[in-house]
Amino acid sequence: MFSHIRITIFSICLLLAVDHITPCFAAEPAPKTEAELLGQLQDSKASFHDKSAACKRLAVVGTEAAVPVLATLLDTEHLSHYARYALEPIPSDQVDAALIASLGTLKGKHLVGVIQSIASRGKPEAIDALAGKLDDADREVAKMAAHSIARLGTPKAGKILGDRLSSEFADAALVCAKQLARQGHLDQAIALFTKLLHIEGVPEHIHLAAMLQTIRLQGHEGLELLGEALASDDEKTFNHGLRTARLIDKADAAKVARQVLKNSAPARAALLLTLLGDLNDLASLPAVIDAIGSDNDSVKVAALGAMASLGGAEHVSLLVDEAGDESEASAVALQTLVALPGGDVDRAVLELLNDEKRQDTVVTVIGKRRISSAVPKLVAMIDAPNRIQVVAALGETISLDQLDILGKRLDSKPEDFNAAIRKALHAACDRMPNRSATVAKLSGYMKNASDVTVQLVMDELRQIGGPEALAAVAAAAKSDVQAQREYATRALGNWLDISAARLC
Amino acid sequence: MEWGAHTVDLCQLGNSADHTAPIEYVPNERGVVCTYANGVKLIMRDQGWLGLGTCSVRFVGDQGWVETGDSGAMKIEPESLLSEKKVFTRVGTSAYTHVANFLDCVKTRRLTRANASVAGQSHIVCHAAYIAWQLGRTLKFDPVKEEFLGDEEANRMRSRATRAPWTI
Repeated sequence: MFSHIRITIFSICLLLAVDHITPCFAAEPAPKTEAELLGQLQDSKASFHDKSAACKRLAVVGTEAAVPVLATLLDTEHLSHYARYALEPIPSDQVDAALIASLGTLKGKHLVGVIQSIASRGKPEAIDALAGKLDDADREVAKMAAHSIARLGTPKAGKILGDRLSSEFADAALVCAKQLARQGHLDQAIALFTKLLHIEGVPEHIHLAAMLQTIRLQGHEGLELLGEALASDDEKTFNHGLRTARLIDKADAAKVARQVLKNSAPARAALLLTLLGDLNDLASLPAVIDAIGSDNDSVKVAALGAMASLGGAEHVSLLVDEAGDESEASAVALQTLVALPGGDVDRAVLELLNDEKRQDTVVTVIGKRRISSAVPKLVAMIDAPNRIQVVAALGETISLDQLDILGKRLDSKPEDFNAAIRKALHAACDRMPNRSATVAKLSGYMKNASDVTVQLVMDELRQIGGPEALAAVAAAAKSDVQAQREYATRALGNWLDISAARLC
Repeated sequence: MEWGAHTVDLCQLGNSADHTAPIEYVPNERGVVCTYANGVKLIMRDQGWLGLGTCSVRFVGDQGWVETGDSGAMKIEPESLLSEKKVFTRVGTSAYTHVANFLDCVKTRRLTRANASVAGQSHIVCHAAYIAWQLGRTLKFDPVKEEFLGDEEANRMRSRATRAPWTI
């Protein structure tokens, strides 16, 4: 049902987080005018708080008229940042002029901040002024200038940073190349990324990011580089190859991964098989099926997991054969059998139910896939040697009118079978669509029942909740049967809503 | 805002909208009604919850609804929909699946389910709704350009100068 388009989603998030803020709906004094705010900034008696608040408000309502006043604050300790708050959003060229003019007078953190603001304004005309700071003696200033040039991301910015490329400006070059790519300057972006790959001393994470982007942007030409990454002896390069392969054309990436898989050690092969599953290219199926036969557990587990996206009804038999023991591979095969979509998979599972060697696994799969059409066959098997699995499957597949199949067997012997019945009944009750009828059924199971069954029924009623369940438990609390009184009282004490308290 | 992202990301997931945001935000006295391009509504409100945890969400379809929260409990109406329930009710908050997903992704290099992009979009929704609520008027939003349409005041509230020397 929730796949339907007309969905309304409610969320509690917003107002709990912001309840200290007064919304516009509340009565409040009229906001100050721009002139009043500027007056506040120029008032020597105004507090820091008032001045910072004025700047925040000017960020929203400030005009060209505010620029001269705000510009004087750019070199004021503590208020420089707030002045930039106000200046950055004002739609006037005078802001750009004021910021660039201040490059010649500011120093240190204030200068770094203004350089950031120039980038935030997004005016490419500022590139030359920023380039003038690349040789600043304060290297934090120089690095921020490079970063801001990068954020502007024009071909001119790319050329400046490409010509000045060093390990110090590597981060900026990476940002610039990504900006160039985003704006469609692919050749220049690739050239800058490639240059980054060959600069000495570039931090490893930047080198890897440049490689990733180069592969992405080069299309088919990048596949060779992807193959090299996936075959690399360096673990981090290999990991970046895995990441990159998920970002490019899936068929292309799968082709490269299959090629590398042939010569990979088991630990790498397992990760490549998981990748092939994620890429979901059916051309990978033979390689994945072949890997299921591997002697290496990791390879086998990964291959069986990949079948969840690549497999189909024709692979049910293979997967059932792999899901018959206690190994990790068996557990993954079972997960895959549950995950495979489609009615044809259900039919393929049912066809194997009469195969005695596979029956335990098939019964488990029937339960986990909730194949309700199998209930008559499961009921016929309820006294079979594998009855514990059968009962578990019934818990997942029976409907309300079939609940007695389990309910009438409560207090069976031996205890492990009885425990399986209780667990299955809980699974069934958790999804029963008619709460009132389920309460009535459960209440009936208490007659002449053991203490354990009474406890189970009380707990199920508690979890179902609602007036009918509460009435049934309240009645049990007054019963002549001690176990009913005891477990009903416990259930009332742990009732999930306040309704039980009203009984007092 | 931090709190909002915890629940909005679930709503975004429920609408297959992890990489976008609603296009309209209509504030009212108790919250904000956000509408996605596909017509689905995300309603932020501070009351009317069943109390199934601190991060409640309710998914409402044309046949009924399910409400859940970080207590692990869930309520489904009408009860006929219970037959479609495929997960057990859990008791208590557990980060086990988050941790397992993270470790799996470290190994395989898959993206985590709640990755940076998902978190970023969830925060964009929260901020856009908050701006509409602060201004007290309906806002139209372009999720691609990440701009409000025809509302300079709202657009000027989208970001603030980064405090030096920090940068993104």
